[in-house]
Amino acid sequence: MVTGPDSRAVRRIGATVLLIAVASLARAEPPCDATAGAEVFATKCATCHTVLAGQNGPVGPSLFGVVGRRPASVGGYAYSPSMSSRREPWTLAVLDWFLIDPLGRVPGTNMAFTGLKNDSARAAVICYLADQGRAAP
Amino acid sequence: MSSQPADPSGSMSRRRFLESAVTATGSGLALLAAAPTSAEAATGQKHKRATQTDYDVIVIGGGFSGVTAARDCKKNSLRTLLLEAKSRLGGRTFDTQFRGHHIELGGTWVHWTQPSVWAEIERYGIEVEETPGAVPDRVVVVDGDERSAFATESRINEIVVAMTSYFSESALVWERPYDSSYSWKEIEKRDAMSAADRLMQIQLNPMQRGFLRSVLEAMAHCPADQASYVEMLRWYALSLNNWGTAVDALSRYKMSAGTGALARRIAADGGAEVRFNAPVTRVEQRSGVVLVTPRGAPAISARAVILALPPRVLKNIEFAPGLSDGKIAAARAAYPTPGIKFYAEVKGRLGKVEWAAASTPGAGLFWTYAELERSTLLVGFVPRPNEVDGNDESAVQAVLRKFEPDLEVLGCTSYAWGSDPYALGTYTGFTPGGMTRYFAELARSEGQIFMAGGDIGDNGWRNFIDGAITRGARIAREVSERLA
Repeated sequence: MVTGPDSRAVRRIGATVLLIAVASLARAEPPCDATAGAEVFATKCATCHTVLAGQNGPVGPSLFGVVGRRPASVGGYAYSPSMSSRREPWTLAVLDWFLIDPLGRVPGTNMAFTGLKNDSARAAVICYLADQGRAAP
Repeated sequence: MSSQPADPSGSMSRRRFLESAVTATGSGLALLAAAPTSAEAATGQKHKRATQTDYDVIVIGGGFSGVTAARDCKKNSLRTLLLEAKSRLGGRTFDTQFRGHHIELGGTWVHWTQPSVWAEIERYGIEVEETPGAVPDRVVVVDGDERSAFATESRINEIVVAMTSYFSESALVWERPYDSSYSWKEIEKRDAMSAADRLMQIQLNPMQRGFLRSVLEAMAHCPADQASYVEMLRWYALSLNNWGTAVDALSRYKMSAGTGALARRIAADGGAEVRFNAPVTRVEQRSGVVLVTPRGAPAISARAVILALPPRVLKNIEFAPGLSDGKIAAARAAYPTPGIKFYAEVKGRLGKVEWAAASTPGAGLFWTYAELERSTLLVGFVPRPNEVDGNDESAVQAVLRKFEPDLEVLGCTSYAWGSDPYALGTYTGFTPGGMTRYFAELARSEGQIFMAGGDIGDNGWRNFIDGAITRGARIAREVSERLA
């Protein structure tokens, strides 16, 4: 059962989390472990998503190149109205804010996932995602 | 095609004027091309309708009921379109990969006492494999502070006695599980009872009580006091009133290539057009034609619509005219808040185990899903979703350590079916009282809208893959005859 929390409160909390996240990112690059992130991806994300260019997962859009991308911008996937109405790009900080509780952060999302509560797992998978779709060296 | 009402008297009646106004302003002018106008209806050109609609039948929902209905309609030469909100078929079944292992996040198990799904398995030559923990070597039961750990065979008789005692009325209440009217008085008499109410009526030792409650809450996928007793009896009656058969039918055999492979095979065999990513927002009936509007797309017209959806989602689609109050009430209140199903890969080889916990936080039923080289994959059913987050390794580990104190969870996953906007729940049957309040009304067609879906109808294994297929096939036959 999902009851939508007050959206203003969510925005306020979201903004605060975002600021903290941005501030901490700005202070020091967090330890980035893409290998651990790959395992988190296989455990938490791969049930629904891929990281393959142009190939959506079984029920979610491809996460190839997700970092920096506009929300709801992958073709061939029917996003929820609530995700479609979002404008803020998927920065590292926004991903962190979202992944801890997708159903609470964007009420009405199609993403039936209770969230990645573990801070280090979340950081690792975001680090892994940042590597997917980066231009080849 | 002219939309100008042809009125021999030269003056438009008030009623016809209003109908025309609705046509012009209601759902967009795009509809005019598809729907016959009220003027055509008035001039009796009904024979033209078959060719004027985009399709003969639109099936909404690509779960097992929907793909079966679409296949059978198409094979009956109806112009058929299947609309699916997601990018995959299967509905509340969903097989996928987790840490490199194949899992079923939704409906999983099948059996030859389930005639419709077994017929499809035979028809398409689908391979079936066993789930190791359905026939466990070792069982642990936790009931509050009581804990019993034993080799299955040492106490299997106590379990059988408990089950036989609990379900002793199944053959009476569901003498014919495909015809509730045959013993309706017996169903009606007990319909207000919860699964927990029945537990109070029988004598059990602590192990039996813990095991039975845990099994009931896994069957019901909700706390025993929110589950309908007669629904539980139905499952048992369909399992030939036998506990061993019930275990086999409910938890043992699964399709090796996954549920999705069968759903796709059925859809491909039928050859009906399938449109993915097409969640339906509006269904309008007008002059014998049904207009179906997927989100962000023009309306599509058909002579009939088959709703193959979980009843819970009906409240999120706009119907014009509205669906009956009874159906909308059912969408809101007929079903309990569902529990969760999770998978956990744990360190080490546990063998074939079954763990049951009741009357303790994080109660649930857990068993070996796959025996791996250096780890074990467990599947678990937790009736109270707020007690355990199936995606939180530490929470899942805490639950499983009640059975194995040193257990280490390597990873876990759970799909939040209750929050999936196109499911809003799982396989739960009715809450107490649901049979008398909602059962018949949910199955009743309204105009050219026909009710399919796994949760609908007097067809035995309702709420199962099997019931979904049975209902889809039956409704396809009804619609085919109606449109012939």
